[in-house]
Amino acid sequence: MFDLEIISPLAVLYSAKVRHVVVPGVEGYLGILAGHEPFVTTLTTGEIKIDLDNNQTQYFATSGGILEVLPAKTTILVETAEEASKINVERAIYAKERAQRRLADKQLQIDVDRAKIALAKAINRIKVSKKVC
Amino acid sequence: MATLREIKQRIAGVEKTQQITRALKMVAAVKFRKAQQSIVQARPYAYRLINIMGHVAYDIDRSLHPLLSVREPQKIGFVIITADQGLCGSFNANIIRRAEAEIRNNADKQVSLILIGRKGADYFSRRNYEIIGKYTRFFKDLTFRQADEIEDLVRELYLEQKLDRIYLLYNEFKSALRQDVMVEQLLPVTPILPERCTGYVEFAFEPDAIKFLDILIPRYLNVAIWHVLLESYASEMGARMTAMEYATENAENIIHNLTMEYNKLRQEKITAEILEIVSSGEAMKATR
Repeated sequence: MFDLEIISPLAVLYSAKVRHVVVPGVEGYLGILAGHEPFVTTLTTGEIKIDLDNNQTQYFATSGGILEVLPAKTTILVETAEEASKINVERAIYAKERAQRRLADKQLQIDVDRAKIALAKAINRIKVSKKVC
Repeated sequence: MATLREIKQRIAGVEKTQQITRALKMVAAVKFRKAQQSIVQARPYAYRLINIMGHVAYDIDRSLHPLLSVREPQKIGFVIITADQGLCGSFNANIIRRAEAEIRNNADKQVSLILIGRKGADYFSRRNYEIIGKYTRFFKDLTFRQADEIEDLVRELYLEQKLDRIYLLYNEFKSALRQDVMVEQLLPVTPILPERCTGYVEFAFEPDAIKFLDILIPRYLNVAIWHVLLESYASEMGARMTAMEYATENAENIIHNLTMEYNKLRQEKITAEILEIVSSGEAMKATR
């Protein structure tokens, strides 16, 4: 068991003792257990999976951030993160469709990278929202 | 000499004004508490981020990263944060006065301004200054995205070498009675290096330090700007609370004085009337 905190610029979103956490690293998903060596890495859009002691599992959708593992505590600094049950699915579906429309329209002068990121975030939210336990 | 009716009208007018100042004070108090809460909530993220950045930047040569490397400051940018509205004491005037002093001190260099808040935007637009960015009606629904927007702008200006050094000018919140004007260097970033003597743990990075800073620094700037926006907003609301408190008190005094004057005048009038009645009674007695 170890302490885990998920912090956004606006608030501390989550704080608990957990058994295992899996985060979306830039080079692929990686898992942290108690006693992991001190470590810092960046995260990308994906899901955060938290295993608690009583065999419960919680899921968060995140748009990316930074993971810091210290002996005392593991901290995930996120831009945004939402617990699976709190995701606004309607909004995510709307965002997905909007991004797809913008990418499909060749006439439109748009920031393609930005639209692609928006699309990835929306798809991720929809995916994670289905994992409500 | 004012008539009774005139005084009564003036009292009613001052009472109306007092109602407004009292309402403004209460609105400011609510917003002030909200801003303060946001500042506290933003702290954990900022602290962790500053700490991580210090550790990552510790061993690298600062000239290796464009956002850390120091250039000869020839083109200077000031991000000046004022309020969108007045009625907050000397809040806006203090910032503007300080900004003008800073600009004078850098007269030998090329100075450009990025203005946040309508008061500053109005003031500097009417004068002969180089303005690269203007954000008005900014504080009504303040969100993190707005900090992001400003961050994008200043980072690009710095990377394109349109500016060599960027400062933030804002009111720092001390208490509802006191705001201090602060001048802070935003770019190039000066990481706060951690002390490594006690309880230091060696980090493993993934990816390497420079790539890591590419991701860390924009977020750091984002948080720094967000913090300053909140500080300024809290100061503004604190200043408005105090200013409106004084205005309400002042209105109370005026009402008190006017009421005194009104009563005095009324009494004089009654006395005069009684005198008239009495003297005319006496006169009638005399003629009888």
